[in-house]
Amino acid sequence: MVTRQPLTSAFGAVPLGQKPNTSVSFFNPNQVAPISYQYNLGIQREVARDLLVEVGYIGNVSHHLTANDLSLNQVPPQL
Amino acid sequence: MTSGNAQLLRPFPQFSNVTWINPSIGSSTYHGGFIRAEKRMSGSLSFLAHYTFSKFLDDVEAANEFGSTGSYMDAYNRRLDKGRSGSDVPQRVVVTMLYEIRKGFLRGWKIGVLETAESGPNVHGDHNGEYNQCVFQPDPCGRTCSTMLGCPPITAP
Repeated sequence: MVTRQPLTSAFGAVPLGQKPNTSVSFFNPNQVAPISYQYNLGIQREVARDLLVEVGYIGNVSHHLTANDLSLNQVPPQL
Repeated sequence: MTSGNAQLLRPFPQFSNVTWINPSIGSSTYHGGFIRAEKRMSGSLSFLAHYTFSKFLDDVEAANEFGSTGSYMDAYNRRLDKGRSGSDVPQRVVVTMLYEIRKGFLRGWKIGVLETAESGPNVHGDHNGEYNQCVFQPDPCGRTCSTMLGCPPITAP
């Protein structure tokens, strides 16, 4: 059974009658997992006796990489 | 910056700072070409040479990256952060030699020699102090972003 601790000021809750906390942080509950794709192509030939030569390409593309904390509530520069 | 209360110009004026922790908004690309040559001599000696040329771009900074600032150039223009990754190694050469011992009490053992040469880490310049102040805070002197970029850092009066 899950029991929940009372929400005290230790968790950032604001006591009754006090000014609310206006500086907030959040973690996206639907956080997208980082993903990366690797692909490669290679051709090899025995160009002379006991001499192998290989030419190849390796590629990697990654998306949704975890980045630094982003401050969302800044005054837009055009204002 | 227009005159008035800067707090009211924020996207969420009821809050001061709103921080998105660890957003998954980074991207990277790596493209590399390589040439490898392997030569086996008639005896117990063989050679292997490898050359790689590559380009590694990203728009985020890993904690271990050289010159990492841990912030954004401009949160409203993510393209400004795109550039060579701190892990970019444009050129790398590895040459090895391997010799197999076939006689004596060391029979079956191999001796290897390996030499690596690679490009050093890149160093990027930035004007983070000025630019962050421009984007992230209203300028106390009333300057706009475009004029601030060419200005000296703001000093306390």
